[in-house]
Amino acid sequence: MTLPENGGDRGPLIEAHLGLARAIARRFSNRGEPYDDLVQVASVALIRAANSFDDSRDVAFSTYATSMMIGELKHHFRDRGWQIKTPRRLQELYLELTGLVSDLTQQLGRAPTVHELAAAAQCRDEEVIAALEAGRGYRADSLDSSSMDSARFDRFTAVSGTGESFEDRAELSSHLAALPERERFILQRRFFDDQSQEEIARELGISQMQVSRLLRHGIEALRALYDVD
Amino acid sequence: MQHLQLDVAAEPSQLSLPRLLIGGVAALVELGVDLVEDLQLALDELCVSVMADDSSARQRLNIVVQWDASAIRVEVTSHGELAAPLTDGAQLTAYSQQILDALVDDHGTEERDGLRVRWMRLQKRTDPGAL
Repeated sequence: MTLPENGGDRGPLIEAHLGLARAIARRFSNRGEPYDDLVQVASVALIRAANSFDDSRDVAFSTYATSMMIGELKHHFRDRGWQIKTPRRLQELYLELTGLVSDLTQQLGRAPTVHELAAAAQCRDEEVIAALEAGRGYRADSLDSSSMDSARFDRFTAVSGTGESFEDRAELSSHLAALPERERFILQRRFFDDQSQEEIARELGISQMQVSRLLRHGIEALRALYDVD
Repeated sequence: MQHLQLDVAAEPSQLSLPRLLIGGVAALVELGVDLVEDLQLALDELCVSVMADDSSARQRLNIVVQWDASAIRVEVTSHGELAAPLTDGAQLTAYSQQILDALVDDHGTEERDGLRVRWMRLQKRTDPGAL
C-alpha cells in the first residue's frame, strides 16, 4: 500500500491495518483482559505508528506498526493488576521487580538482565523468571479505584473544554476513553487534580521521569486521535 | 550449542511451561528483560501456529531450545496428525508472520522426518544501548 506524504490523510492506512490490530490483540486475549479493550489499545498504537512512521526507512509499515502494537499491549499488561490467583510471595516480588526494572534501566541505560534483577532483589534467577511469568495476571486495584467515575470525568472534560462546544467536550471524552488506563489516570491527576509530576510519581510508586514520559505519550496519543478525526 | 527439550500437551494452559523454560535459557544468555518478554511472546505464537497445523485431539508439542552465548533457537513440532498435508499450509498466517517478524531475528518452517518443524532464532544484541 502506498503511504501518503507526511501530513497527508493516513486514515485509509490505519483502516487498512485495523484487522492486524484485532489479530494482535487476540494474541493477548488469553490473559484475562476483555478482547475489546485490547483492540482499543492496539488501535491507538496503530494510530501512533501511522503518525510517527518514517517511510524513508527500509521497513514496511506493517512491520513497524506490529512492533508498536505489541509494545503497547505489553505496557498495558504491565500497568494492570492481579487477575488470577498468584502466590503472595510472587506478587510482592513482581511488584518489587517492576520498580527495579525502571531504576536499573535508568541506571544502566538498557534493560536489565534477569541476573541483574535477581542480584538487586536479592533472590535467585529462577524466582525472577517465575515472578515475571506470574506478572501476566496482574491488575492494579489502586489504579482501578482511582479511575475516573462518570461525574469526575464530566467535570474533567468540562474544565478542559472551557469555552468550547458540547461536541468538543464529547470528543475529548471519547478520545480520553481510548487512552490506556495509566495514561488517562495521569492526565486526570495532572490536569484535573492539579498534582505535580512528582506527586503523581509518589502516588503510583514510579519515577517522575516515567510520569513525564507517560504524560507525553498521553498527550501525543490525544493529538493523534484528533488528527485522525 | 547447548539444548533442552520439553514435551507438553498442546493446550494454551500448558504454554506457561515452555515460557518458563525459555525465560530460564534467556537468563543464562543474559538477555535484557524486554527481549525475554519478546522471546516468550514469539514462543506463544510459534506454539499456537503448530497447534493450528495439527488436527489431532491428542496432540502434544515437542519444544527444543538450543542456545550459545550469542543466540537462542527454538524449534516446535507436533506429535499429532497434521490438519493439512505437509505440502500445504506451510506458510504461517499473515498475522503470525507479522508478529514473529517483529519479535525475532529469523524464523521459518522445515520438513524433517515427515514432520513440520516451525522454528525461530533470536540473536543477542551487542549494542550496549539496546533495550
